[in-house]
Amino acid sequence: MPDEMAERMQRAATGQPSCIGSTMVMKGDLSVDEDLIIEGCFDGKITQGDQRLSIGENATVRADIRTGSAVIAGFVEGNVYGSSTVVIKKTARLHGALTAEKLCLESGANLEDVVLSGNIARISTPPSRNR
Amino acid sequence: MFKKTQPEEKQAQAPTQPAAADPVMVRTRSVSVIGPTLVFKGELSADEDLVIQGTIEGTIAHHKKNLTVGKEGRVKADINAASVTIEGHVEGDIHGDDFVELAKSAVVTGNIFCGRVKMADGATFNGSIEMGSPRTSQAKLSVAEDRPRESSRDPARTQNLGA
Repeated sequence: MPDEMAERMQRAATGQPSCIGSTMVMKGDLSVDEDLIIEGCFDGKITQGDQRLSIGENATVRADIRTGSAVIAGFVEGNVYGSSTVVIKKTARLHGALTAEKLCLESGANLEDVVLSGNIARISTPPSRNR
Repeated sequence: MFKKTQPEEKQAQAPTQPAAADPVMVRTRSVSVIGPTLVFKGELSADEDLVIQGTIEGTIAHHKKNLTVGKEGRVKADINAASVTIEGHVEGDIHGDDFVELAKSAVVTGNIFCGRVKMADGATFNGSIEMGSPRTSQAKLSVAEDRPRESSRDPARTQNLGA
């Protein structure tokens, strides 16, 4: 196990993104200046530089988010601001205001309660066999 | 060292074609990593191994799994985990059901409650260590249960021994 831990430490030290795993639950304020992957639950506020944010399919995020670019595939409730590109995957469920320099929407994404602002760069229809 | 080139390549691709960013961004990991630039204030709980290289302030409830506070990690919180390895700074009580290990770079201010403890030469530690049953962290009750047994050594007997 120490070897395994050492490997993880090395991974963490070599500029790999921060990862909030699927079993993690965080409540509070988070600020980060590196890529971030969220696959668990987050409640609060996320402030990121111009790095990338990924919200996984099974993630639940209730937060105001300020980020560089983002790929959203999970549930997000709150206001999202992306200074660069924000990609909304078909599995995403969003509630709130979404502002981005460039928006990429995949058809099928649930955007019922969303106020969108930004340049819609691409609206794609995923192939049917796409997982 | 050389791994650094990979993220750079990915970043170079991303701005030119947003589509390329999709598969890169969504990844699965079995280990949670709090990177060195991440600062979090609040409550954190998890059921998977966690490596902290950033700054955490609040509470960490991490039962059943391993927690590592890396060299760059700064934690101002009470920590609950199955096993805890500290290489950075921790301010707060550390409850390790199994063991707590302090590396030589560790700076800890707080109390340690654990089944086993390992402390490297050079580690800085201010506080007390209480070693009880393996489940010390779950409740001090278990420690309390142990205590009567220890104290049940007859004061009279110890006096006899002393005499």
